[in-house]
Amino acid sequence: MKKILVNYIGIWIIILFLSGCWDRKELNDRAIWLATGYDVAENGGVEISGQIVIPANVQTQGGVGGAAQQGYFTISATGRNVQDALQNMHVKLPREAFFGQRRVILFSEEFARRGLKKELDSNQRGAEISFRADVFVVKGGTAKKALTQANPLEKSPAISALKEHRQSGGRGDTAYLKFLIAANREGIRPSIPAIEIANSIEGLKSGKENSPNPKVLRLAGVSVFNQNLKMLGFLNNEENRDLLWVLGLLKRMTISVTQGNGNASIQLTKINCNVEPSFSSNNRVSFTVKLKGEGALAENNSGLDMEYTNNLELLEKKFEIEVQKQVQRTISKVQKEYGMDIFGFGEVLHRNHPTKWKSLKKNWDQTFAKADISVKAAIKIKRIGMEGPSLLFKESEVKK
Amino acid sequence: MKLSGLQIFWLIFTFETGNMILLTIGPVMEEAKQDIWIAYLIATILGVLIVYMAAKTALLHPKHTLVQLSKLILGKWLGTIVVLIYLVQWYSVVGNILREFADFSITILLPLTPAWAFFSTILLLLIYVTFIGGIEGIGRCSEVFGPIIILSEIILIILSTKDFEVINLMPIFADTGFHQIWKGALTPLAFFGESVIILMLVPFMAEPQKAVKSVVWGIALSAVTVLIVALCVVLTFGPEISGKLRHPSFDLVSYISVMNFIQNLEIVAVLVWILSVFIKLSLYFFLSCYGTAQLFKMKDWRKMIWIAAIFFFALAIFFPGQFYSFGYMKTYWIHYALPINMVGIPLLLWVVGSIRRRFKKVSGTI
Repeated sequence: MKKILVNYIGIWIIILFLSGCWDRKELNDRAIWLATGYDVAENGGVEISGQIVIPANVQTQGGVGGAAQQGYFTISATGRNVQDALQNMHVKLPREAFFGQRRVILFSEEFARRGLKKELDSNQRGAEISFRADVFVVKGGTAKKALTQANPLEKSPAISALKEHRQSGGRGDTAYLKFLIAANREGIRPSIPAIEIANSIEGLKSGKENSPNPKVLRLAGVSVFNQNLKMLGFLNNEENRDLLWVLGLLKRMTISVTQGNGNASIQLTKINCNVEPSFSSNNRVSFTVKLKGEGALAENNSGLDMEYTNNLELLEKKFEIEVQKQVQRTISKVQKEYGMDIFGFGEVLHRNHPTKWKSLKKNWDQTFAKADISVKAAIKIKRIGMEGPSLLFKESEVKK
Repeated sequence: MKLSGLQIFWLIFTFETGNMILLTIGPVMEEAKQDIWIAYLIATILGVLIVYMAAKTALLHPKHTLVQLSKLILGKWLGTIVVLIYLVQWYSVVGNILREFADFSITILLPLTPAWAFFSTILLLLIYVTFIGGIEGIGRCSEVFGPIIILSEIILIILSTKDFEVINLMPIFADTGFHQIWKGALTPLAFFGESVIILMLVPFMAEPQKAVKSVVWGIALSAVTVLIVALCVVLTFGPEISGKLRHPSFDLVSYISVMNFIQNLEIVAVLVWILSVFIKLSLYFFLSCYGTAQLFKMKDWRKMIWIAAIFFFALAIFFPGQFYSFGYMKTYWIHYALPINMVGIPLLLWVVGSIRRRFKKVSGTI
């Protein structure tokens, strides 16, 4: 009898604890937040805009079909800092924002120029937010405007930006962590990918949404930051690729050169870079950047028959010279215009000459701006594709 | 209540791993930076030495627990003082872990749940496992949990390899130097050193001679697991960021994203930690009750469970907040518990015990 009583009470205690859940959160009480935009508010604070999924309009396969409705909407509010703005936002957001799926962060150019150091803490303090996020500076625009530019192929602007970034061989969703790491190190200055609002067809006035020429988000190179996390300026897309190559983050790239009267392109798929520091007799630091790339010939309008080794070597040489020139130009531009070591040469010094680095790191920005940096490239054509010479060239025009 | 050698192995492994992975990596990274693996290697070697010594000491009197053994070796008064020193450690650490368990769960999972709800649920569980199963129940639990933990860790480690950057480990030794690495090594060493509880466990073993082998292998497997996770953290995040994070291993798991659909695996990390913390708490809970009962020569040690449970509940409630509990780890644990409870006393017992035994043998033969 006593045993039954004990069991009975025990079961009631268990039920009490199993059902008494303070923190249950139903999915339909939560707003899934895909992207955050940061803008400068008029009163000097911060304006947060969020891209939120409309669950009813996000259909997976099958479903009713018909005209695709927008899968998202954008909402914004201002405040002293992010959390303050979020509190102000909740007066018009019926569900509690859930940041676990946030994949993209956008800063307006003005906001980035004002400096990021005192703005981003709440991104890491919360437990549900992962470090895995893509981050962009909106070139010449505001983040909230960028968050309304839907790509017709994707459910939301944020996702389209992320996918474009991945597609172009950039940093993708590791960009935010890369930024944080660079912000914490002394031998590298942060750089954040840039994005801008553009027309789907270049040079034609864009129509409204659902027209064949809508406004879309376009990657616009990369933005350069200084040690205090204030943005200084931009590099364009080509220069961004050079930067990524030196950083060792580039995944794929196409190089095109003129050859004779025509031209040729190679699609590099195996890319890496090695930076070697050296010290001259008067203790001046110089770097040799050794770029390596392998890939397949993708286009050849030059009439060269690629089945001949001498032609292969000729083209490889051309590609190497082109890459060398291009990367050298980018590095000198960064040295002259910004004087910020976004390539991480300082970190190379730190790794290879840790004792010398201790004295060099104090004035690294100046030292970097004056350093001699030479570039060497080694390009290998591994495959030539399905034809020897181009099919459009007559036998007499083909060079063997 | 009997434990097998395999149970001791899993018991020690489970007891160490979870808390080590969650709590030590951040503080060690702060000191030892990218040389964190050297710090963990040092801690591992010294930790194995400590438990080897403790296990050897326990084998001097394999039928007696630490409480009886210290009285046998050091005499009544000194022995009692030694036991009291250990009881202070065991009682206070339960309060600390309960507090940490609640804080972490509130931060990560259940922000609105009050702390006492966590204390009471886990304490009910602890009472259940110690009352019904005693040390044997805890041993069997760890036999089940241990493989789950090691398997989850292996999966998480494999999934995170994608984001490794080897250059994060460079330059080796130049940024830190021996002093900083040593300072970093003290934290994991203070955790490995907790395994001196083997002094209490040997008498429960069916075959005590297996104690040394089991406990050393348990520590070694735990150390390798923690070392690899620490390496994963530094390879992914670099030393600067991980040093500032409170639970870098948790962030590592939440960073995993493989092929864009294996994501948000945090809950696996939480599971591993909760399983491990349960074993840790229940073992300390059992030791506190059993040790106190033996010290005061109570006939039924299970009566202590009720007193201890209420005491622990009150301790956890009144245990000062998070900042202090880190102070508990950084000051009491490293500056007092490590040199006294984990190195000093076992060494003293071993030396004095061995001398006494030899003396007895010599006098016996004459």
